[in-house]
Amino acid sequence: MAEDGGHLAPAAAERATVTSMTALSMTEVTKSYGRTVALSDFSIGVEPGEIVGLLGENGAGKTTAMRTLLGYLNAEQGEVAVLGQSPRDPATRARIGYLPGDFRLVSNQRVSTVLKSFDRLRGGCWATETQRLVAALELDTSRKFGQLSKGNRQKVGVVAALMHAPDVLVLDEPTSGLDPVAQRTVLELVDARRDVGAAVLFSSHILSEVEDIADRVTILRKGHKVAEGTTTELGAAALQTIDVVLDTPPPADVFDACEGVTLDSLEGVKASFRVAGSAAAVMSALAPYGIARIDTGRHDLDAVFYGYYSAEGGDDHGTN
Amino acid sequence: MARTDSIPSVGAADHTEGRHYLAGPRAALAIAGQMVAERRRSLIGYSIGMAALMALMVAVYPSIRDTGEELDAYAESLPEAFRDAFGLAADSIASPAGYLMSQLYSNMFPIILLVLGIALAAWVIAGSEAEGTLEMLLANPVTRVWAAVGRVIGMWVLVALVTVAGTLILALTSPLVGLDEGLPWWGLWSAGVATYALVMLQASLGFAVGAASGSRGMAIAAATVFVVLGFAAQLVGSAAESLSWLRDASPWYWLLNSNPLTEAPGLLNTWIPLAIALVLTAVGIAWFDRRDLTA
Repeated sequence: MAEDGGHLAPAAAERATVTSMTALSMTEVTKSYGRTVALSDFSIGVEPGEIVGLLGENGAGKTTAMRTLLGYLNAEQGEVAVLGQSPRDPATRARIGYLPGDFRLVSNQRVSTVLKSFDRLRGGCWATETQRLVAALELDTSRKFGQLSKGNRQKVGVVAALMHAPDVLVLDEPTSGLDPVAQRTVLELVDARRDVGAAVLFSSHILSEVEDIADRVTILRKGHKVAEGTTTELGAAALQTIDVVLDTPPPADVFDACEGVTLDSLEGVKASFRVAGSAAAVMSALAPYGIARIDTGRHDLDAVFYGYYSAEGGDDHGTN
Repeated sequence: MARTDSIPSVGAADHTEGRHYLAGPRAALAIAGQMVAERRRSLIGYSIGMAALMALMVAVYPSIRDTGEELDAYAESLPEAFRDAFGLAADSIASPAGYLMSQLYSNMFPIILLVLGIALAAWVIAGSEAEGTLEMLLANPVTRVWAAVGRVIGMWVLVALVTVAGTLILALTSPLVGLDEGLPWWGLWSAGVATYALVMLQASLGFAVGAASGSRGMAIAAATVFVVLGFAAQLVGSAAESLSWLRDASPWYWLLNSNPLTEAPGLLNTWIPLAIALVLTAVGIAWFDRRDLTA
């Protein structure tokens, strides 16, 4: 318990029961700003040793979800827990690393001074880890925060979030403003935390990096969760875009009989359409007209994401 | 609900015995210390400015003393409300007590401290929240209440240090021109404490509004309006007997109606303002603890 006037969060040695319970959880959380519903019945969970990517356009509710999860915002309904406790409990806070989307510190302070003050509040025993991170990110801590470039400020935020080897990481666009080398370093640092069992929730606009390191992905649209799963699962569930060139022009109503098919264009022998589920039926319907060529859309995260963000895609796909 | 200790820590190998963090009061003191340290340059600048003001007050006093009868005659010609408002009611302006109350403690000294106090009060929660730095402070293992307490302590200490700096310079230089004649040795410190209480009362309203609303502008506006209304209430209440309750309710009157230069800090000019300031602070912190943090 207390030592030198400080507090001690539950020690690993005291934790006899090791389970894989959810480290981060939001259950049916609703949050509004006035009349604007920022989150609606939103649920998410992150297990220890797992990275979950949160995707969505600006204003989709990603930052609101993260800030609610950390207790900065009060949920109107639903439950929030970090490591099974209130996120505002200092013992829980001691195990959380947080990087806000717009990371800022007092501008006239040297970075080293600020990091030392964080270290002190976190028990004063993280100097070695801090130095390791500073070296990995090639950060000059002797400079004042206000003198740093956007990328270097972001590096300071990453160090502040990781310096106490947190069990839970909540990162709002952690690679924003970083050069490709630094982006890679940050992702490796995050990956390393996952490898030792930390639970990571992060948002990003860079779909490829989410695809690279996230174990699961949740897609938000206008405060609603529209999809959740591994990239492979989402790809399988997403609409498949197909372009075909036929030998003879088919009648427009040939697609009407095919369930789950949305015709985008039909110009002579060229047809473009989207299929939910199996494409076997529509291919059979088109076979009599001679299929000269088929192009199918990609099923990486980009395709999945934009599929959900097309007007029809977002409406057609309920919460997964 | 799951218990925290059912999920193992995955901290660095040499820290798996548990995670230390500063307990609430120690965290608050660390935050206060950090806030004071961050402002050490502006603190020095403010203190130098305050020292310069005090030196000027002392330097000018001999000429005021030498024209005392004419100034007293002029003061007598002013409405009583004005004499009350500017600390001229009790003593001759040529006397040390009359000069200091009318030229320093009724205006320049509290106004300079108010500018500092209100600026800090608006920053500690609302200003810091708007610039985004509060969010990172609260990312540490400290509750909102202790974080706010730490910032409030920092605010009170900073204003106190400037008050002490000004009073110290005055205490050291006033004997050079006889500005200490007739005053007890602790008179300037007593007046400094009473002025500090007046300033912290009004700054605390700004803090409470800022903490409750998250708006720096509202915090500054509320405190400024409170200052102006308090001063106006004293003027109006002194001018019209039927409105004397307004004067009695004015914190400025509490300071100026007493004579803190010759009397120890009293209930009305020190302890009640400080008590109200603490209540306002507590209300602000309680509200801050319950509301959403603004983006």
